[in-house]
Amino acid sequence: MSDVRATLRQLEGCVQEEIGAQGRAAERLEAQAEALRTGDPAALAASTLELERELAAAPARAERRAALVRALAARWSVDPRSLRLSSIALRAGDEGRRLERLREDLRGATARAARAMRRNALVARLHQRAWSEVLEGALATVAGDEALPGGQLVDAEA
Amino acid sequence: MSSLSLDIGLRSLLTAQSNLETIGHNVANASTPGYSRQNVLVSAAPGFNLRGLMMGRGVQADVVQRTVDQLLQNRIVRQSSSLGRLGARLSNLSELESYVGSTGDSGVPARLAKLFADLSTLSTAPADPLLRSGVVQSADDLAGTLNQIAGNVQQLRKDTVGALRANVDAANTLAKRIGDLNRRIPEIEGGGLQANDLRDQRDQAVRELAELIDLQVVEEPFGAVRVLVGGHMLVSPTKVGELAVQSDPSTGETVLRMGAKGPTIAAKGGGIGALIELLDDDLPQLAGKLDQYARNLALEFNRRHTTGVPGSGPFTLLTAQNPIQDTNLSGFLGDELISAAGLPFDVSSGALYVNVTELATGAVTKQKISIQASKTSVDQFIAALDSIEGLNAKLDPQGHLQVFGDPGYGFDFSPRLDPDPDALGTFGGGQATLSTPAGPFALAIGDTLDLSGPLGPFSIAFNAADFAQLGAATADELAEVLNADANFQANGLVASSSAGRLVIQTQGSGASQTFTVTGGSALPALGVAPGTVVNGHDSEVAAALSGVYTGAASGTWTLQPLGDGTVGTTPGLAVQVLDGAGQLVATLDVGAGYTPGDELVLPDGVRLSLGPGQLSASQGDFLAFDVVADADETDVLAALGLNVLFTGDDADTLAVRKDILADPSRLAAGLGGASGDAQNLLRMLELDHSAVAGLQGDSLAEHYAGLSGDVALEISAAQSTRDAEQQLLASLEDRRDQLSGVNIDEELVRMIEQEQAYAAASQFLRVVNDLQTELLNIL
Repeated sequence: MSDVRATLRQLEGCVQEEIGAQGRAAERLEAQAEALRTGDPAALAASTLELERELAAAPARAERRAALVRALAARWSVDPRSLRLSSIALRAGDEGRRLERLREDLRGATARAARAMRRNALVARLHQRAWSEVLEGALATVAGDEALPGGQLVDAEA
Repeated sequence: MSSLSLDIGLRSLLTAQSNLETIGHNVANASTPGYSRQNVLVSAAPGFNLRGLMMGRGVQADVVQRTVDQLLQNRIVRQSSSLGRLGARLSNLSELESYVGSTGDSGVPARLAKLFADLSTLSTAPADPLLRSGVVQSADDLAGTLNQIAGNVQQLRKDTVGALRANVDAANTLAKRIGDLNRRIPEIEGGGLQANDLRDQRDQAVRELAELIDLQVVEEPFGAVRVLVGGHMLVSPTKVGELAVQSDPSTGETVLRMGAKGPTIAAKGGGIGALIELLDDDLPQLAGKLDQYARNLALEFNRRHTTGVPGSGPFTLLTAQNPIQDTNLSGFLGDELISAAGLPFDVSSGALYVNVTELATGAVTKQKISIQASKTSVDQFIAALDSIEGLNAKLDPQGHLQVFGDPGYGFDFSPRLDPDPDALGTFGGGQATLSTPAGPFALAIGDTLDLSGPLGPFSIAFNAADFAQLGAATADELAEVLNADANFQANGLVASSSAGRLVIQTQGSGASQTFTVTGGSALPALGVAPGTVVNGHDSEVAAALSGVYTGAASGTWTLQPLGDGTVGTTPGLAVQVLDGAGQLVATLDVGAGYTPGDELVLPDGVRLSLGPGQLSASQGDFLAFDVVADADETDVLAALGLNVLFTGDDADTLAVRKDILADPSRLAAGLGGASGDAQNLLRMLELDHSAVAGLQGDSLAEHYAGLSGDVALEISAAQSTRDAEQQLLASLEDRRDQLSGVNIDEELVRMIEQEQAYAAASQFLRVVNDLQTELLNIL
């Protein structure tokens, strides 16, 4: 039981870390949303880079979390794929109450980040499509209006 | 929630559309002069309250703003004005230079050089009619070239007035355009929009106006501008003034006014400023310099020509080219001062020498007329000419002076030496001659002169009533008293005066002629020793002068024998030459070593020859003759236009005298009238390198080179300044282009950057979405 408790404490630590990461991601996404609003490509690129840095650590955190879940699944002799934080907290009884509270906090933080992400994704997609179309048109106009610097190749036989 | 997303998306699209339209507008106006790049300013759309939650509504385009630095724009306007002035000035100066700076055969320097070359050629054969025609033609070409330049300058003035009016019309049109934009911009911006393109159009119009005239621009709070020209309002937010060009009737200067009757405007910059500067400064200055040059050219040639003599010999009639004018408005011609009679050249104080020639004998009498500029009237001058024996002078009804000789007499104004200076025979003449020293003579009341002639002794008493001042009696007064005495006449004696000396002579010549000064109380005052026996000679000493006097000052030289003896025979017989101040000029040995008739060389170009005969110092032999440096010290002949080469007194009117053009033999090539005499041509040739006082001491060629060089120098200075100003403007425009100009590449890069940034964000957010999904799966 002491092994399960220790693993639960480690898992609580992981979840707490994830809550912090999600909060920071949400902040980055809000900065990105501001850059999307102003249309400043430099600000947009910078905010996206910040977000990318923040999320770079996400896979490692996910791996550590998965390892702890696998350890608990082995102690409880269940398939790890069947375990969620909610079911782990339920199985742990009183020991799982703290994990349950953290799970609620993580849910809130993730939802906040996801909302920002979806909004940003929508705006970025719309902008990107619009700019792509106009850019194609503009490039075609410029190329058509001006003679090529070296003239145009013609068939010498013609 | 979905409607909110749709709202955000729509706003984003509208913002993107504004951005794209702005970029497209920038690209389309990339080549439009004065266009300023525009940007869309965006901000977060105001959120709305949804059940206590503030919901964001995405982005919105607030304003499309010009990228403009107003300070830079103002500097460009000022610089444009400066450059406009310099550009127009340079163009005008270049045109002036093309008139005065011609270095080809048709330019003034070439024409002047040709005239001197032809004078030089003619001086070797002064009677050659073809060479004479060449000189006259060259002089005519030179005058014609100056006439043409003066005409071109006058035409340029007319053209410049036309150009100025066109520039002012253009400025008024631009002012109206600015006024129109002044009205439209506040209308648009009052509605919360930015009238960027109209502002660009107005900036461009202001700049174009600045190229025409220097101005100040003040922006008003509601988008209109005030344009001030020379401190006066040309364009206000509600009114537009109108510039007008006028010519000031009192000064002839060009005046720019705000409205036909408005205040005058001092325009210093822009094309209009340059044209006014050309009209009021450059053209009058150049015309003045050309006139001064032509005037001095005419005066210097005429000074020499008026005192020369044509190959045909002395004149019998001369008519002045320039009429006397009734300058004192008396209603009569002639009572004016000769120096203020409306003549084109100044008449100054000094002497005028007149030679009257008895045509049958060739005998010449040289007379001197003194003119005092502040006292001598035209009538007095005419009277002085008319009083000369053999000469007449009068004014014709138009005020032209006519000088003409009595039948058988000719006249001229040559400075030549008198070839027969001893007409009186006071220097070894055949008559018994007694000459006193030069007077005046300090006689006293009751003084007498006792003489003895063929009829016996007699005495003449001098009375105070016969003299202006007995104590300072003149030779003329004494001669008059002696000639009036019956005994003096009866004894065949005659008295005269020469160079202030009293001369008493027998009427006949030869060794038999004699008289004696026996005594009298007047002898000490007259400087004659009592008992002096005066004898005539069978042979007369023939004195002859030749050469051209080259001394600086006119005066009277006197020859005096230093002893008694026979020319060419008496050992040591010498003659001294004294100048007018009594200073020794030379001592000549005319004794045993001298061959009578040989030329003796005196200083300053004078040559003397003496024939055989006896000279007597004891009888007061002397010979006085005039040396003339300048036969017309007063310039009265040039002023009147008597025997001038050039008529006219400025570049426009300069011409060769018509009768010389028609008959080149009238060219006064000599000083004595002989057909081979080229002495006056040589005097005219000296002008090639002589300093001319009226041209600041330059020679004619030097001064013209300086005149055309001044214009070239102005051009060079204007070019340097314009280049510097142009570089400054280019630098300002570069800065403006960097800030406000449209670079198509940059605009495309902006579009690509936008597209790529959105694409990157979009792509990354897909990854984020995957991570979020994974996370949500374990909750």
